[in-house]
Amino acid sequence: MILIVDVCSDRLSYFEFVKPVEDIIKKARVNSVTSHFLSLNHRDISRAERVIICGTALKDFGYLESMEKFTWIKEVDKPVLGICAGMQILGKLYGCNLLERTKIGRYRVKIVRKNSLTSKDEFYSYFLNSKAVEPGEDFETLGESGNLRCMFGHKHKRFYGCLFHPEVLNPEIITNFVQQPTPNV
Amino acid sequence: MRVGVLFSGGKDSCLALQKSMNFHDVVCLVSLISESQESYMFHVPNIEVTGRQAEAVGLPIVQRRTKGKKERELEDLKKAIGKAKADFDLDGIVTGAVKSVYQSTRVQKICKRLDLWCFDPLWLKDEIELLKEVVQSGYEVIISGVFAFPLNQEFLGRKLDLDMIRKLERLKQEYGLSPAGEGGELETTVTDAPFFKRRLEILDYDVSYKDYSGVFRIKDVRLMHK
Repeated sequence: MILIVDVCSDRLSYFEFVKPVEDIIKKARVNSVTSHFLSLNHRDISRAERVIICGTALKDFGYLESMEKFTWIKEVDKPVLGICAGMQILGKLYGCNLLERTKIGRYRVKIVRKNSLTSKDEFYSYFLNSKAVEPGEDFETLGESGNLRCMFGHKHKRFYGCLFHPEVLNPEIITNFVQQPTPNV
Repeated sequence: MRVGVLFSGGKDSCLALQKSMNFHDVVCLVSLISESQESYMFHVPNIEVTGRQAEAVGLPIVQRRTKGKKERELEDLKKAIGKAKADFDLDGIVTGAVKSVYQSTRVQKICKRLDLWCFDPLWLKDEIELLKEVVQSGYEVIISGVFAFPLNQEFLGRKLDLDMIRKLERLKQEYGLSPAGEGGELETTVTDAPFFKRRLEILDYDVSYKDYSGVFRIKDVRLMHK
């Protein structure tokens, strides 16, 4: 079972940032449950095999004001994929700096370190962010877009972040994350 | 939150409007009236009818004409959204974008520059699900433009119902046609929906068509009590 974490402050944003991820997982015939980060319960966390933290609207930073609601992530031994805001949350949990970087639209991503989220060396992806993450010492960069480090992985835990929105142009990244039988990426 | 909805009068913008009404205070509609039949951004057939649709819904509408030239129309859109923000004290904009990264990128950038929230409640929605939701919610929708093979004159003015959805689904399988017209293959006009206070009755129209490209142009409508 996949736990999808909704971080949208505004309920209308669910349809744009969470529902598409749910649809990709459903199409892959994998069970999932969605919880908003403010109402997440321990049962959902303990039942989950993997966790996806979705993105939210460009003007929404409510999740950064409630970082104490995400400390459970550091305690779980499960693969976690953070998308955009989700990547920022993973970074913040490990003390990474957030940078003011706006990138909106379709841009090329170059894979700089092989990983099992994608088999491609380069691809186009859709960006919608006004902040980026400086990976810091706990993470290694997996992908770049221009000089923006847009994909990272934790050096010791199975935590991955995509600053872009794979649900738009790269659904295989989400499918790969939820379907891989072996958790080592 | 006070929001304005980018409104073309077609099924997508109407469904986006209905969804936003469930969560926010929709205070106006915003329409760009493109003079180009090949607008990159905006729905063209019957865009002139949006004023009457706004009356039917009971919302004010901010309209602005644009030549429909590629990036110039974005400046016009920014001006229209800026005016709506100033006149109606908007916090955000809602669009009916479903698949177009081109459209979504540009509206997101405009909203960022104007410090507005941007919502795309239909984003990446399955096209058949979208069409069924429209029909099953009680919308009255006609096909008002066809722009791709094998959509011919017979589709123009036809009502969107479950039979038509099945037909469009078959065309998707046979020809790869986007059933909801997300690649610009077809356009629609909504004449009634659950949130319309009055419905539109078409009094006069004409049809122009050639080589799988045609428009059902509404020339005159009246608003009817429901």
